[in-house]
Amino acid sequence: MLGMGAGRWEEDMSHLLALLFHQGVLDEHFMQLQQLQDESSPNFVSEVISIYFRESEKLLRNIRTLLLDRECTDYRKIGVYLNHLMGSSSSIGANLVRNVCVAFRAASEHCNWAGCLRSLAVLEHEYCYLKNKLHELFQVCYIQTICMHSS
Amino acid sequence: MRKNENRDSILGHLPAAFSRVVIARNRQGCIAMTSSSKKILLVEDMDINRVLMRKLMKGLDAELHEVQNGEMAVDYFEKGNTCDLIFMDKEMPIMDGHEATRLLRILGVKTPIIALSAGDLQSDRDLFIQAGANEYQTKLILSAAILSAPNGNRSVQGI
Repeated sequence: MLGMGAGRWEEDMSHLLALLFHQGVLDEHFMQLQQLQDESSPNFVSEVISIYFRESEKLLRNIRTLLLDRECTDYRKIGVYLNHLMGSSSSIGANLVRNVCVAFRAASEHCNWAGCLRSLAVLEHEYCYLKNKLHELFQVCYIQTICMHSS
Repeated sequence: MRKNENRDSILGHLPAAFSRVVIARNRQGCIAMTSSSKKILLVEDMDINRVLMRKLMKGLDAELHEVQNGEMAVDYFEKGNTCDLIFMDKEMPIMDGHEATRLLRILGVKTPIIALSAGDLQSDRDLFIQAGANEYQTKLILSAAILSAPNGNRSVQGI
């Protein structure tokens, strides 16, 4: 695998990023995040993404908990959690997750419990897809770095 | 407001706060702040956004102070602290950005306030400006403006 050379892995990384931008999963804010990474903080992007994953999963758990009781759903609180998730998703360029939050927020503002449940399912699906793809990206980046150092 | 106008607008507020921020490289290539470095107060509750802003501000070499909600921002000034520029988030627990901005102006705080938000709703913009913010920007535009600020010698005159 390492014999493939850094160039091949760099190509894979570019293709993956291009796909994610084309699908609308990521936007230009992700590129700005990459611009912040430098020699003084070589793992900046992965550190920020780790914080994003941690915070997002907590928010998603909280939202799911709030939707457990149909009669006493606190839609205002769901809105607050969604705003947070929107904000952090926007900050790292997670465009699709952010957009799903916008739609979800509309359902919560209308106190539409069924709509909220459906939106949560979509949100969790898109979040999982994003997480898997970013892990894949970091894996390719890591292998590329190893190839560069071993050549 | 187009992106270039946004950038000039943001940087236009920094001139009052950063009359001269000169970054000099010493022999080891480290960046040293001059005595004219300025203080920014970041009012933001989310960890991820604070991490990003710290990194962005490092590029400008400003002294960054942080509080996690609007009430703490008001306390900061009530205790007699000052700063040259405030970045104010919108959604925060205990006291949000609109209310904090309004109270700071009632207290007589004249420091420029740049309201930050993930979204770009006109209603949010209007509320912030009515509360007394000088400018309203999405976080995307702000980071784009700072990242595209002069690099190299980084003599940020008039910024």
